[in-house]
Amino acid sequence: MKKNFSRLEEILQFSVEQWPNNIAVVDRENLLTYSDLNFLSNQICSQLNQLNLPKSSRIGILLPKCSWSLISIFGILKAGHAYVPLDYDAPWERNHFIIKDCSLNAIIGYKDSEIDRENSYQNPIQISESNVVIFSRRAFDLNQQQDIGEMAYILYTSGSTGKPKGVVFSHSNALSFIHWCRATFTATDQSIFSSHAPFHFDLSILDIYLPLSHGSRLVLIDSHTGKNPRALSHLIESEKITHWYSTPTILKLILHYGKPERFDHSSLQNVLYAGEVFPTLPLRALSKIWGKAIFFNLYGPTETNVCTYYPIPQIISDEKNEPFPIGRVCNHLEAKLIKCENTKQELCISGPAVCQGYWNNEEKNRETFFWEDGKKWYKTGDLVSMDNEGNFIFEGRKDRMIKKNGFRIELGEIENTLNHHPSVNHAAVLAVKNKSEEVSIHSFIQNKENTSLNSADIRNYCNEFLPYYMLPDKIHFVEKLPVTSTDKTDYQALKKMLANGL
Amino acid sequence: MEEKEIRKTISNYIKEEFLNEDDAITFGADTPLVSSRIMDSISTLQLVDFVEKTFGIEFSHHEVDQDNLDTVNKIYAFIERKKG
Repeated sequence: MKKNFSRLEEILQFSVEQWPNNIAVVDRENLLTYSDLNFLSNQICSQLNQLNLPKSSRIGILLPKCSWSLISIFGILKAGHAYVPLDYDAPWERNHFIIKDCSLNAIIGYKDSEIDRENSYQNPIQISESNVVIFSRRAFDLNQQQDIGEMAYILYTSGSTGKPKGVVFSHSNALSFIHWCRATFTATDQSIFSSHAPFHFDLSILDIYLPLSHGSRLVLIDSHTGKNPRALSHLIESEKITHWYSTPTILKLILHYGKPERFDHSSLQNVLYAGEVFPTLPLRALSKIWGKAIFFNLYGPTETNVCTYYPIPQIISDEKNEPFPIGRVCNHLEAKLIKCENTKQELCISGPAVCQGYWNNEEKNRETFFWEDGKKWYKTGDLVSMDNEGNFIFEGRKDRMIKKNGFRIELGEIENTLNHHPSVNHAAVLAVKNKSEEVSIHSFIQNKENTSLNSADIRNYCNEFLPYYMLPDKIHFVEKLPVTSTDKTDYQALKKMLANGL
Repeated sequence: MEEKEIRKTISNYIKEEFLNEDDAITFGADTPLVSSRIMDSISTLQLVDFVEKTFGIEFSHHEVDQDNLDTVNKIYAFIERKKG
């Protein structure tokens, strides 16, 4: 990088000096220059300063994907705090859990939102002339967790025990990743990046800080547009996007339903994808339509962000059927393989971009990280092999975490929710793949005696507690769930039942 | 195609592709599909694709919306409007 940044907000500081009048961010309603973004985030910063929060407080953001979320991020960082992006589209129950788990000292959100009805938060302060306010906690949480370092943000992800878990990142974790991005992908102050992923996903780190370090323009895609491939095709053309980053699911949807061949997408230079396997058939079809763009397969769990990558050849041979490798380890990180049962190997990652650990969850930290050769290693839970050229190939998971449409889902979180329903005796969940590698979630419900339940009851209940992407696709009612001799759910038997039409 | 047939074609497709067995029993022309989350965003796109191919109409990007897709009645009304 041109300067050695030590904190994320210095990226904005640097760019505002170089390119004050470049457009920094575009959403449906606003267009902000680097100066605007800087000015507005300073306002948030000074309002936060007046609250006299303890240093390195955790501040939530409960806003839809818009310029104000980005302004809030920089305001929070400038004030020396860590930001925690909440999922605006998720049920309040889930966000409420995160607010409590993370003991947020303040939350930036809309006036008259659910936070307003939350007793422990008070005195909304209005920001500028917007309807965005800062709610502060009545009694600050003074627990700083000293060992956590210079915390920059916490991203919550699905947890196997039924509750989401917070992954903590320091400024230097994020900056080492951004530094790698800058060295790997070409961009200038003329580039136009799209930001498709919500800010509570790790894809957002590249989306936000890479373009802003180049003086590029960042086009924010709200969640409604993000699910409409035809609108996305239109947006790529009208905004002249040069850099795209999303899950393969979205790219497949653009290919199948977005009619990309009818639009002018010739501005695209780099197309990055991550989060799941991209089957070769649709990848080849899209790379033919977007002939000038260079595609990259990026791989990495939230805990490390991108840790391996593979540049996709510009021409994909028609004979190729198997998916591309996840590639080689990025040069700011190191990889090692540890042997698991049945000769499979788990990928472990070490280096400056690896997160600090899980918030308030020592047990999970002990389970997931280990020390060796004087370094801290993260166990990804992903099983890999290596091809002749030294590229890693993804082989599957060690546990019950799945990827559906690019979303990371612990099946245990869905089961736990279902098991809390007052009329459910026992629930189990399976992920099933079809021929095109598309995953659907099947739930199996055994009612309590003398109760009646239908699919609508289960769906409504899940809608209250789970984000939309975790909702089961199929609901099956069974008289008795199969169990093993130790009284655990027998998933193998369940798979057989499903294959035999129950 | 007559109105009855159009409606039946849409209903059958939805039942087969997206509904649980017990959902199909109570399913009617006014059953909300998108707002009730019976259908997710991807199944909605599948449905749009089916409607376009079967009835020879086209949704523009802002028409791929709950207002036109939430119930069989709404889908039918949209098809009629498009056919003019």
